[in-house]
Amino acid sequence: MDSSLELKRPPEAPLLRRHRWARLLPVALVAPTALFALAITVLPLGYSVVTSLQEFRLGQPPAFVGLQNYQNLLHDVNFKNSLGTTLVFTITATAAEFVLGLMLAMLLKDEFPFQGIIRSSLIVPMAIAPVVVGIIWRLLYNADVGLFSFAVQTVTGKSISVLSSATLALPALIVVDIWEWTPFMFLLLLAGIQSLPQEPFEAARMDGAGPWNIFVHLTLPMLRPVIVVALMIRALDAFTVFDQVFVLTQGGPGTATEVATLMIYKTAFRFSQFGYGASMAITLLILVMVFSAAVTRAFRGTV
Amino acid sequence: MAGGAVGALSHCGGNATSNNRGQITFGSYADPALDILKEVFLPEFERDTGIRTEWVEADFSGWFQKALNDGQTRAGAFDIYVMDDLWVPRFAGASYLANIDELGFQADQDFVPAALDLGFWPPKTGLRQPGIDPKARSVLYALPLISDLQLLFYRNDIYSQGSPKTWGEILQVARERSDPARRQYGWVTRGVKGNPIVNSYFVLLHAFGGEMFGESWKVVFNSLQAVEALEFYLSLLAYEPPGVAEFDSDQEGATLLQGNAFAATMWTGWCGQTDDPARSRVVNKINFDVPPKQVKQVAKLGLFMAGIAASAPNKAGAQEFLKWFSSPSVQLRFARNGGIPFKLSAFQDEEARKKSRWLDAILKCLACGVPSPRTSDWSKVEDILGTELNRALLERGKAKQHLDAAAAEATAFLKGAGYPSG
Amino acid sequence: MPSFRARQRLWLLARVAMISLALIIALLPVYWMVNTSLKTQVEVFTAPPTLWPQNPTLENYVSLFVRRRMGSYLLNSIIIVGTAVFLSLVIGSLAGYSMARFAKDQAQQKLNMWVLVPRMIPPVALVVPLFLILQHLGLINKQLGLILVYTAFNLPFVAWMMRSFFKEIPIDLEEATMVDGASRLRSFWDVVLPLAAPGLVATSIFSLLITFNEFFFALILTSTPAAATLPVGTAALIGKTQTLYGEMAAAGVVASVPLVIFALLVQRHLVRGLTMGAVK
Repeated sequence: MDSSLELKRPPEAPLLRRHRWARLLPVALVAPTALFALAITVLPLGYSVVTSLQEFRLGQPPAFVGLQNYQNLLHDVNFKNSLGTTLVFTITATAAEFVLGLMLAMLLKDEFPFQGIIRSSLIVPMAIAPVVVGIIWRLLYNADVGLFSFAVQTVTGKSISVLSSATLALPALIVVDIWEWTPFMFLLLLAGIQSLPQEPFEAARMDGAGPWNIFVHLTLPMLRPVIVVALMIRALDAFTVFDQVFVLTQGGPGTATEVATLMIYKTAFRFSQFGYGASMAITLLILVMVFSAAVTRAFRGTV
Repeated sequence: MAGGAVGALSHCGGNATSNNRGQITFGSYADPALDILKEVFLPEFERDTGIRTEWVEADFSGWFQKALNDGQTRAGAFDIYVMDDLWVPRFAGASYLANIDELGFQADQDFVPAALDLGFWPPKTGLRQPGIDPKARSVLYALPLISDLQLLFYRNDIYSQGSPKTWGEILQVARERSDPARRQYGWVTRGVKGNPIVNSYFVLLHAFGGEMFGESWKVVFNSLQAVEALEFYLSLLAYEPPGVAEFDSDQEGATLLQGNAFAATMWTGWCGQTDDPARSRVVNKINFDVPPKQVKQVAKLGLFMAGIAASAPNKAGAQEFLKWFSSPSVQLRFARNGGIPFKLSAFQDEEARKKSRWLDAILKCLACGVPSPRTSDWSKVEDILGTELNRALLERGKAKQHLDAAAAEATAFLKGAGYPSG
Repeated sequence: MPSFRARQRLWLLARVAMISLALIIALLPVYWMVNTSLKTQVEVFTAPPTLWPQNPTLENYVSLFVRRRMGSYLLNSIIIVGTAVFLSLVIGSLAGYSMARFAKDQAQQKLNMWVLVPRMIPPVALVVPLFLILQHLGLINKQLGLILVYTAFNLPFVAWMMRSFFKEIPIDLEEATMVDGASRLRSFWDVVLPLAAPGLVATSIFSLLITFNEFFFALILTSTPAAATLPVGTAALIGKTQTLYGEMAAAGVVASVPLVIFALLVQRHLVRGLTMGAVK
């Protein structure tokens, strides 16, 4: 920032230069990412689409059946239920994680003794392998030897079996997800808040605005890009939740926690119905893409 | 994987007498029943034959996926697949396994027939799934590896007169001596939907005279006997731990080994643990037998099988292992070291029986054991039945309704898959 | 009327209480994991549950490294994940910057949208075809194969995260330095990056955490301890008829230690970057 240097370019719109090749710069910066990521995903996706148009029987080569698998899906009650379960799971978990994460970020954004240790401790849940998270919570939820059931028993005298209750199993899973991923929201929103410029806040305080007003009318709007990304990424991950459900309930009791990914996994790998499973996966993908497009459109212009 | 190059870097045991002869790669799931094989006998095999071994392990579902993938893509990453006997129809039927007969293997009479039979495809006896020629000759595709099955574990201090002979006896003892307040339960089972609960129910179903499939694959697990069996299963719930609906093998075994249950039908992998103080509070208090009788007396088979991959890089080496491991002398030593053999001579050895007091029960179970239905579509039917059984368990009733619902859904599925289902 | 001082003190107390509650909730299961890892199998299932093992033992940890080859898995994880995350941070940040600053026309916006697609695809749909592609390239069971896959999957995530952080930085700051004669690269290095540092740190922590614990692709694309990662080794503790809870808890502890250390080291950069002082 040496202002003694002579001016080399016109002062207006300095970010977009006039040179021809400069127009390519934006594309050049994004292209490697887009190409690499798409190569790893779009090509295999094509293969999956082809698979979804086939039927697999033991000992015979795959047979082309057109859209038959998709037609069967339309009547598959179990799959539709699993989509519903997945949706409930995703929305509840993401919303709760967002609210809690935001609260934590607001609590910890200012200077605080031991803030380093505290922040690091709060993100530990995210650092533990999902499979282990499942196993440990399985122990904690266990009706006989679990800590929670033990605590409930001490207070109310009755033991409670969370994972074998059709009504409590899904909330139990959501709690595990909230425990594991609120740190994600917390960290992201904290970083977002920390990156905001200070001046608008100082100005608002000098004008006499109260903390709640500042929060609603200044912090939140300025955080919007980060909030949208956080919600999107977390929701996308919640749609494809698998490990915890697999370890904790296997989709039970009954079909209370049978999420879409579990159904796809079982269909493709346990029952060896590769074609049908692929069609489920493609359907889920389409629904997820529609969802993301809707969200992005809703926030267009403000992001 | 040139044998020579690998040989130069080989570090097997230090006293390989012959020149290096390549290596064989095993793929398997993890299970305590395999520990002795992995830790004692594989090194011995390396020393005896000079063939290096590599054991690759994954969790049960993960290994199944990998094995299927390896077979489908002919990747050739493994020489020997360790399989659940349930997988044989899937793997053999899709030609992922090498024909052991063709490789020159001779099975002798010392094999326990029930164990050896599971390695044949198409199955020697019983129904053949549609798409398989009913007249095709049965070919050997896999050999038994560990004779895993479900047998009765019972507390010898509770059942002081010896093993319960009938299911009624189990119910009666449960009624008389259960004490939930002190965590003393008459029975414990697996309740998780799908494979766990179906396996638990399986023994009762057959004991009461029921079956999964009848003539031409007709679904009969909602017959009168089947409903009776399920109702009995549900009646035991009053004497079981409250969270049984979420129990898998882990918790079932843990309940018994903590001394909280009087009896259960469990897998052989648990046998050795009953007398290990690091894992059990009921050392020397557990005895073993065939599950009790009702109309029939049956055990459920769930053997570990070893098959040679069709795309195996070292088929000769793999076959040598199979020959070596099924030789009478090795099987004998295996049994004497606490392993579960699959040859009669090993089962009948006095020394082995003294060390492993469950061998006698296992041999008897093999004689009256029933495996899962031999069809690659069993997983889906099992899932359907397992979901309804789990629902019945949650409601503690409505046995007939749930079995009928499962039968209807299964029949619809089977019809769609080309089964004649009358 | 409560004085200003009293209200401040009350607010401080409330803050402390809430933060303590959050810490307890976050760390209780973690404590349970450590607790379980030091227990023998028989004690894991003892009722009532014990808060500290009666006979603490390190046997689970020993077994992990001696019998289950956890050392190899750990090394692979560190190498593979470290490389992949580093690559994706560099490439992805540049993409994110471009998306934040230059997304003016439709085509550009479409491209930005497509960057997120890989994240939406359920892994089950990709596993077999990816295996075939990598097999073709001879990259199955090699560290490089997994590095490529992980980089590709992290890129969209990093790009989108950094984009949102870059967008928060007012464009005036950059323009100001460029008016003063600095090149865009200079302005990026001196002005933008320090301000985006919290975002970069947060992104790197996420990327590392999520990639380190990835299981599905590692399972299918690797087979032996030559290239298999920690999650694969850990899952192998789930047996056919039983799960080794003690060893699994120990594996969980071992797996989270590198991540926690990294988080501790970089978290101070989460604090607000240098402000630019009076710009306008």
